[in-house]
Amino acid sequence: MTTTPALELRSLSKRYRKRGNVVAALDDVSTTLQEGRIYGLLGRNGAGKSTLMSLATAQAFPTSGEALVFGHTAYEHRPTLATLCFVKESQKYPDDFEVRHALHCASLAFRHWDADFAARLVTELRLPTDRRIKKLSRGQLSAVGIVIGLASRAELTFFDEPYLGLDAVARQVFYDRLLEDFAEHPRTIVLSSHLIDEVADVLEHVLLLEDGRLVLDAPADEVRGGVTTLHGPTRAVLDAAGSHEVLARKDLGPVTQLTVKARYSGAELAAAEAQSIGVEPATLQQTIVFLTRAGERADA
Amino acid sequence: MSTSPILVSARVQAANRNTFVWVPLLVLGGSTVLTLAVWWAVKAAGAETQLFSGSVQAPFWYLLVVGAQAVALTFPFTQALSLSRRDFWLGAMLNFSVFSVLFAVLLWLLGLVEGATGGWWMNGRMFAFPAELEGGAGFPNAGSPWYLLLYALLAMMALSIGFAFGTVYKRFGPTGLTLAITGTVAAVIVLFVLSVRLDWWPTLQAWFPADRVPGNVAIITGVIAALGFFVSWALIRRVPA
Amino acid sequence: MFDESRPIFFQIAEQVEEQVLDGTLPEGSRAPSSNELAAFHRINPATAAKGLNLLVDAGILHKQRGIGMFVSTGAQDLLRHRRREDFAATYLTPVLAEAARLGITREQLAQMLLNAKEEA
Repeated sequence: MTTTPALELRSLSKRYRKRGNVVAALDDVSTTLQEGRIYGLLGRNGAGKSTLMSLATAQAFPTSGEALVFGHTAYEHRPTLATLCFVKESQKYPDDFEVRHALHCASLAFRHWDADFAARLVTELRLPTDRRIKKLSRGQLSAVGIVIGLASRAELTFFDEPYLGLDAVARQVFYDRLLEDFAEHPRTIVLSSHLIDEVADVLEHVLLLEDGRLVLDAPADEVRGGVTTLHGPTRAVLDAAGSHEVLARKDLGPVTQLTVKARYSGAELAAAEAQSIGVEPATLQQTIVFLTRAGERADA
Repeated sequence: MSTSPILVSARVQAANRNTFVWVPLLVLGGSTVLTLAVWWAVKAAGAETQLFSGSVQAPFWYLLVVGAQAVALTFPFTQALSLSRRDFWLGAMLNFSVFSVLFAVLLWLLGLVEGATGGWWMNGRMFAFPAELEGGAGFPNAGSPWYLLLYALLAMMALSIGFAFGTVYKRFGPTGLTLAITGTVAAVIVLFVLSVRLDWWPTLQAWFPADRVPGNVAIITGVIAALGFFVSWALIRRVPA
Repeated sequence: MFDESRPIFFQIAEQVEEQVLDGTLPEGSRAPSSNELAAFHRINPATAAKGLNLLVDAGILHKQRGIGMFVSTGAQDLLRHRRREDFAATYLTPVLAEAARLGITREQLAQMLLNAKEEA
């Protein structure tokens, strides 16, 4: 495919002064997001996820570098802005706005807006349309963002911690409608989340931010299970670990629990199991936790 | 066909009728009723004099808040709707203009009623201050088109001042806002002191002759409004949502 | 629903294989689309598509332009043949390892197998 990427970040940085020190909210991030995929923008709170999205959508200004949306910066550029939708997690609404006001405005602003879809989402998420946004619960506020984000069908849509405060039913509604609508209307979607297992399965590609830096940029399939925990007699475990990079080690008498950066399958897995070693692949979340801790150790 | 971004911006700001319709009407209605009640009490006490009230200013103070909120709350939402800063600003201008004209028409009509009823049957004036009355301060008679222009410009000025300070707040934070307000007040005081010290009054009186009060007020409010809008335009281009 | 040891697309392929093997998806019938699989399992459609493509490459499914994917003729035999080849590695090796750990002899194991057959 030779199409323009949906988003291209070139050495994107955002620094600010805090008590005399220069702090980087985003530090020299470069990556490319292809059209028609669902990306996970992962990282702990304060890692720079919201900053990245604000800069990409030109809601905030980079200190250096640039963000190109379909080949153009979004800043003051109508055709580029028209391809974007980003409702912040801490989105502000005009005073006294009711839910229906926000949705009506969105219906005017977004050219691909699907009113029927929006109405269906409102019903399924049990959103009270004539309640003032100020009075909404955290989950209902998230639901407003979800309705706007999904029904806008923008070519590049950002969801900022979309599930905050939502109950289990509403979260399932979100994931179901997201996948269903994505199938019918493919577009580029970026889901930011600090709870990784929550979104893991719907992601095609993972971007991980740590202290403003992009520390992982890989297909979800490659990341998932890329870390394995071996458990058993120390000797056998060390044999099974071979030359794989060790991320963590715990010992209990003659037994050792070793976390290695490797995927066990085929002969290697059979060999390990033949030695009565417990082989447990890590979830996406665990994998990422181990990988980022490894990064911290390397820094120290 | 989707709506023009400028119109969307204007619609966003007008989407809630409370802000631009009901609250201003409530403030205006409240201040008017209060004034009438006071006048009635004064008359009941046996006063025979011409009565005046400046209560018409009440809704204009509220417009300062509306102007400031347009930046503090409406601007971030227009950003969420992927509108450009330029389209937000132009939409705000469009919305403010339409509101100011309609509001001016309402106040002009009230002035007309006031004139026709001999000052609400109590010889009171709060919407029009004709020069022929003692204390009328050189304004035209009720129903003059001057009132349309003056009230529209006053509304624009109030919105513009609120809008400008709101933008300063969004751009430079609370410290910036405090500095801007202090600076503005200081500048006014300094200008006043200078005008007295350097004896500028004759020159000023020559610029704004006393027999042309409506024109003078129109020029001054117009200039202040334009200044406020210029400041907001210059700053909004670099304001993060 | 999915275990983490293997990529999800791989497990998607396996699940479809199971259905072909046990006849839930007869030869010639339409296989679920990647979007249907994605919606059902709440996974990314691209992941589901990757799983289906594995089956196409293996000759179990074939694409019909504009209509979807269908179970190929002979798919069931193909799978059965492959599973038989994998049987020893997949099932016998872990059983032998566990038996060795517990001190169960080959003879005892054989006896257990025969008894189990009778019970079944």
